[in-house]
Amino acid sequence: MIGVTMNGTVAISGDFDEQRAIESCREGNKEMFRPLVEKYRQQTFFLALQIVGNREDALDIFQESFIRAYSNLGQFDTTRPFGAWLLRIVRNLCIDLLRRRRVRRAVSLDDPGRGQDGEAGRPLHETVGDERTPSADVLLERNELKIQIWSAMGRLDEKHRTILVLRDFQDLSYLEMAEVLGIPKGTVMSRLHQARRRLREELTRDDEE
Amino acid sequence: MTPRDKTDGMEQEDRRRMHDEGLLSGYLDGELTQAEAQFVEVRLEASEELRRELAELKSLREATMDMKFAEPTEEQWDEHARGIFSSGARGLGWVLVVIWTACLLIYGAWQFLSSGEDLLVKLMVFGLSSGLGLLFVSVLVDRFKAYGKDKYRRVIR
Repeated sequence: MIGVTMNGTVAISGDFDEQRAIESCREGNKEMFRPLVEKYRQQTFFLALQIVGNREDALDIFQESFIRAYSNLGQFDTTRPFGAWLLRIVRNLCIDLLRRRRVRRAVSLDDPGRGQDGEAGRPLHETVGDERTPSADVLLERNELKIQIWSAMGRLDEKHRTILVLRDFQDLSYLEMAEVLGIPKGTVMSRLHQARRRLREELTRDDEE
Repeated sequence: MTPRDKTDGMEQEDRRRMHDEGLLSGYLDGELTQAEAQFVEVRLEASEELRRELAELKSLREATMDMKFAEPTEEQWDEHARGIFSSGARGLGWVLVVIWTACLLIYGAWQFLSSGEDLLVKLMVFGLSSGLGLLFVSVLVDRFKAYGKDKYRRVIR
């Protein structure tokens, strides 16, 4: 039995044997990949949505992440959690997309000096241009505070936005976040705190304007 | 001895640990060891500023955690999930197309060379096809070399 919250976090109970499904996929039984897609589809989609800010790109990333996971299943270390590995793929795809958007925007602004340093750590609203600013349409409830927070999160750089998403939207523990991000737990804690302070500053700035 | 910040009763070293190491967030999320949690609680007792900050972070976290996002429709799920399972077949399809095209070309060339055509015709066809082949390969090599240096290769046109 698989239950999914509206935030995209997954609660699983019952007899689904993930390890066995992965082993079976490695032996070429692609059908056994379906339960894994079912189990993680919302979590991958929502993570992508919360990082890149729009539904179409999030759906593409959801699809691509599973294609990559399946084709690289041979390299997956079965002693590690599959979900964290998959979310790491999602996060990397999000970073790639944000980079591509930034280069595209730099070119459209006729400013080739921008967007060549390979960093994805710029705020979403700078990387995507006005037409791709995270839209409030993706929110189910659109009260003023939630729209304000969503918009402020869009102005954070990718590193801070991702860590907030993993903790507050995806409800991962610090250890799980460390696994997804490939950083020590102590770094997770300090980065998360910086991100929260940055978000608070953004909201304060909004109030002042 | 570390200098004491007179404004809120916290020493600078404590402040550094709270913020740079993120102990305050760790406390909020219940992720600290017992010793770390006690460390934070003692500082919270002493500093009103810190208590205010913790309360602000807590209400911000609650508002963030309460945000809900719209799900894709079943049709959108199905469409994208189909793409996952057809990608392997598509890749295999391309491999088969390439292999069998090469086989067909080799077979055609063999048939042509072993046919009773005039030697001059065979030489002309061979010359033309090898010239075209060389041009194609040289364009491919140029493209491949340029790709590595192309700073706009990530641009979606």
